[in-house]
Amino acid sequence: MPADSKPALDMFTRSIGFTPNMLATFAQSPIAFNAWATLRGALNRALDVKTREVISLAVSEVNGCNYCLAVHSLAASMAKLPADEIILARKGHASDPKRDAAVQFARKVIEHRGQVGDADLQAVRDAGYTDANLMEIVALVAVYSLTNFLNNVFDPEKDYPAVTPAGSI
Amino acid sequence: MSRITALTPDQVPAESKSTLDAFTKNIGFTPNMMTAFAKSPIAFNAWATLLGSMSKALDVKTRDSIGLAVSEVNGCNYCLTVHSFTAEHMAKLPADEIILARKGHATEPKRDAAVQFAKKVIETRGNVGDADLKAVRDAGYTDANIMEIVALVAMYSLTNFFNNVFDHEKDFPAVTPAGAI
Repeated sequence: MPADSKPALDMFTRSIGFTPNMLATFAQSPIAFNAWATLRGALNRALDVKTREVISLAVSEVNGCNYCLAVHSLAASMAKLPADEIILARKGHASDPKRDAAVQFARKVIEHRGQVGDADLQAVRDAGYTDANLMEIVALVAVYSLTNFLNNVFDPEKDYPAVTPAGSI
Repeated sequence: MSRITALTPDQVPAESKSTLDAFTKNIGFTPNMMTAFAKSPIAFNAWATLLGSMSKALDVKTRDSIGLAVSEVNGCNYCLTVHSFTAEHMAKLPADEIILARKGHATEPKRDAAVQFAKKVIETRGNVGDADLKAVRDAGYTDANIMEIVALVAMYSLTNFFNNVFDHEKDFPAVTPAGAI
């Protein structure tokens, strides 16, 4: 394992309680791994943890990343999201109306590669999100897509509690 | 027409100012996408840091070719003007190589493998075939390099999605739109 990846990997291990296979894999590129860890850390200041987690679930479902769905389902339950809310998020919704608008918008962004309709943009703005918030939602869609793509490419052995695969909820 | 109100210089949040100034100095003017992005210091600075870190991955010609291939797949016309400009002026890619990159190829065989792989990653959302992975490895890319390609795909997708959402007025030299090359 490259020395330059060690501080970030140790931090994740301490915070998660074990070293997930995806991170042990990702650590092979200190450039990409540290860039992603920094990006992720910076975006932890965006919105609130429940909204970030529901976005991660919606995006991982669209990108068909089963490893990621296992990771984000655990993270979501640590963010105090109940099981039915986790399934709802994977479907692109949330029971809280404001959060619902954010997750619906995030789902549109990843499905349509950003080519959302005027009505989509209007709906998320009407829910109370500022332009800055919308940029944060878009950035979160990309940061979750990064690990979705990575885990789809390398298909790490599952080491999180199993969840229903993408496309079957 | 742009779907966002541009900031006037005095409206730029203080935490975005030094990043915005660095882009202005580097590019020679302040692109509309940057003025818009500066509205969120969190997202703008996070992305700028990512861009800086990822400039250590692979080489500039390969990175810019990937930027063009990904922007074509994501259908981002604003981004195609940006990446065509940087490919010409910073990466020194000739005009025919810029079009080739948008089609997911490069004349240099190793770079061609990287661009082909990046195009597959964005088209399939990472659900590439075993043959795709084998082809990019056979071209000489390590697993670390492949992770860097994937990270670049996501990084370019961030601005593709952002620019598609807000549809900024074009301010880089015009290029043929996505899907029309």
